[in-house]
Amino acid sequence: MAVGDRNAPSYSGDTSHTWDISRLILSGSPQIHDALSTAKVHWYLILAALPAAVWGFAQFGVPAFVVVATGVAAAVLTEAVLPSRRGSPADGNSVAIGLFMSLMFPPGAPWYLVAASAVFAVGVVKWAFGGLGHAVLNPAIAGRVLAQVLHPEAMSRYALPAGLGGGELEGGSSVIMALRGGSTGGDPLQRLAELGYPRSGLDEAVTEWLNTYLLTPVGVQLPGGYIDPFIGLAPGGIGEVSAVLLLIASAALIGRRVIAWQVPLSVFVGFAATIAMWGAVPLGGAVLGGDVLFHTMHGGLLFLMFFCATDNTSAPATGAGMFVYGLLGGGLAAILQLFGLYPEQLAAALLIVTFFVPLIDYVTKPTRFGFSRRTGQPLLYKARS
Amino acid sequence: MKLIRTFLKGGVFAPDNTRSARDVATWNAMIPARSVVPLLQHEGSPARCVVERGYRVDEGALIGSAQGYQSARVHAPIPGVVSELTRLTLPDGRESEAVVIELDGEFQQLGRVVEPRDWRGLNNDRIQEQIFDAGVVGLGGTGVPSHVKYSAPRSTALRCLILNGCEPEPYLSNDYRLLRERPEHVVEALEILVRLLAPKRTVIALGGHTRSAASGVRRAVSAARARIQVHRFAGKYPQGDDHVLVRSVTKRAVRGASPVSEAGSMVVNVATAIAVYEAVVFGKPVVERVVTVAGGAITRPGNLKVRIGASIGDLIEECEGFREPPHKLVVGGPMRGSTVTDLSQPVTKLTTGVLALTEAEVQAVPETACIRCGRCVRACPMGLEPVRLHQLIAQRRDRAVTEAGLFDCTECGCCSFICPAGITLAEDLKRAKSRLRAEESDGRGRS
Repeated sequence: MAVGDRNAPSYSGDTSHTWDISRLILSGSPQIHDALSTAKVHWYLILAALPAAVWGFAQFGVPAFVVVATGVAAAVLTEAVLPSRRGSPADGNSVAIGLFMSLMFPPGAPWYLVAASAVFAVGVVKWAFGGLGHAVLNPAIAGRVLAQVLHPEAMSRYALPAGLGGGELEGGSSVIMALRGGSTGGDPLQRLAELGYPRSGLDEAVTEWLNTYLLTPVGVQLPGGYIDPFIGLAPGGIGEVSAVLLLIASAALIGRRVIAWQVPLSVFVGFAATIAMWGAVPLGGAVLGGDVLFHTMHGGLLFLMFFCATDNTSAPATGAGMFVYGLLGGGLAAILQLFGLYPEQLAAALLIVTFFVPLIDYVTKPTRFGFSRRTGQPLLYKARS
Repeated sequence: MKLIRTFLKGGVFAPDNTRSARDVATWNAMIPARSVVPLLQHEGSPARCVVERGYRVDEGALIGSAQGYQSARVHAPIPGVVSELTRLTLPDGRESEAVVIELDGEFQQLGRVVEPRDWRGLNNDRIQEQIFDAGVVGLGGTGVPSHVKYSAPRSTALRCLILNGCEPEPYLSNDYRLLRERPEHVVEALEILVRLLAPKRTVIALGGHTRSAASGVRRAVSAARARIQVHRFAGKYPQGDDHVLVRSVTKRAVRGASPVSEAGSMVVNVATAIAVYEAVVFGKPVVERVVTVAGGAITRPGNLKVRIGASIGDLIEECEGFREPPHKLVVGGPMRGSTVTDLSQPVTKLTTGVLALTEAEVQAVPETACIRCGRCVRACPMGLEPVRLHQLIAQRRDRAVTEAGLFDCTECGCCSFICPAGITLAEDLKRAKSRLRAEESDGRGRS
């Protein structure tokens, strides 16, 4: 039969293109895609981390920039040099690994330590295990933890941001370590005040404004010291300090479905519950008296839960699995935050929980539609009159 | 006002791209001068050709008779002369004989007022016969002959009859137009089916953009004093799939490999209901249907009432052709439909839509390695692990893939739609299913 002998439909479009039947493509269903590609997932994550990174550069100066530039360059070069094995630098994965890893480093970390960790993250944790999609552990976290093991002293030295006058904290340690050994009835802010920790004028002004106009009418008082870490005037990892920038970025990522909301939510719940329970104990306070707000904004939790815990490859597949993973990871992170020997060890908590992911995936296998969750057998509906 | 519900397990939110076509009233396409009528327009064995070259046929005359248990009649959509008997490949890949009719002679039904028949005086056998005579099949795309579906032996009383008015797939708005323009006919069709099937409960389910037809449907229900509930669902895909819909309405989940009749439910498509109405009330065979012509490349998208056998090229021309170069030409919806490159493909009973998609709409992503993100697992409404099935298929572990639920896959396409690595999960699963089915029937044939 003479098919295709009919006149082709008219074309009224832009004449710079011509419509040609031979250019139509054949493909299996579905015929459309939601457009979020592997590369886009990674580049959106990188884009979302940039404001927090730039804030870190502004507060911690050139050394911070050197750390991040070294980390990203080493990660990308490692992938470029190694024989191609699933994925290329263009898909953004190695850039993301290098960036997220170095944003968890203290500003003054030596460049060779950053470079070694990045090479380990991309070359061993990712590439040697099979490349993109085959890393059993999260490479960024593994790199950060390796640095901690190699050089615990350098990884525990934190600087004050420029907005608080710069320089080092007393003892060269972080806010979290300053809480060890005090006895202020469980109040971390009071402990910091004892140690002469600075507060910005902005913090005082904003706290006063909030108390006068918003909180007093509802009968609440906000103590000073929370506004600084919220906007990012606190010591910490380069990209970790600005709570507000991280929260804005995460809202965009969740809204675009780049990251699954279940992970950060459950990490936060696990962390907050544990902190609320025991947070005050190291400072001589009572059980159930922990300061969740303080610990959320100090120590790197927000960065970790939005950018690292959500890693596509190492996080569990199902929503239920994500909850288990997040609660365990958050809980363990809180314990390390309160009782660990070194500051900023939340990454280690996540690394440990990642070892449980195959087990979590097994236990939280999705219940098949039309099957009984209890027996695992297909549901049968008896004939009833 | 009832709360708008959705389903919890899996699914995807596809962009709402029905708007351009759905707000335009259905218009009648021109009568084609030539109609190519495949004899296989349903699920089952093809109809047997009862005409020969040179025969003169009237509008609505029988040209293919049902052969075998699961088959359906085929009628002449236009009056004329049979100029050719030919074979063609349908968009879904099946081969079919086709009768080519050149328009000639006069229309005996078009434009005439036919008195509606009082079906309430007919007995059930007579109603079934009317449905069979008219060649009614599942017009939502399944193509199951309706008389077979309605007369299939049931182990249990029909608990719930559901009219599926949910948005079937993105882009398609033909069901919506029918619900907007002919709600009273939809309700009357349901009353006929209630008489025939005696369900305990009858529900009209609306979902996504078809929710805005709710008030008209409710008015039609109360005007007819029918005992029919109207349920409304969110626009998550695939709310309109039988299994998902039955679960949403009756709380009973049946695995994808089994028919929903196991839960005592039956789902009827809107266009099918209209065909039942026309068959029983007017004795009219299925010779036309409403087709959505849409997509970014179409100049004037809309819903067209088309005679079976008209070419999709004519339909596109009727919508003023292309305004942008099309990248894919799709027959059916974007999630389950097939691509074609042949504009002479005829409209059949199963053609729900003709879409001309631009490259920007297709949004294809380059294929990369699987990043093990688990998005396909979270998107699967059947609770399967598409990534795992895909691996097992690649390893040719046939038994393991069957145990992991391959045959529960309803081919909704959600897994491929969201896969960032651009892996053709749904397509590969579908292929594996037909390969395993073919191998199984081969084995049976030999023993």
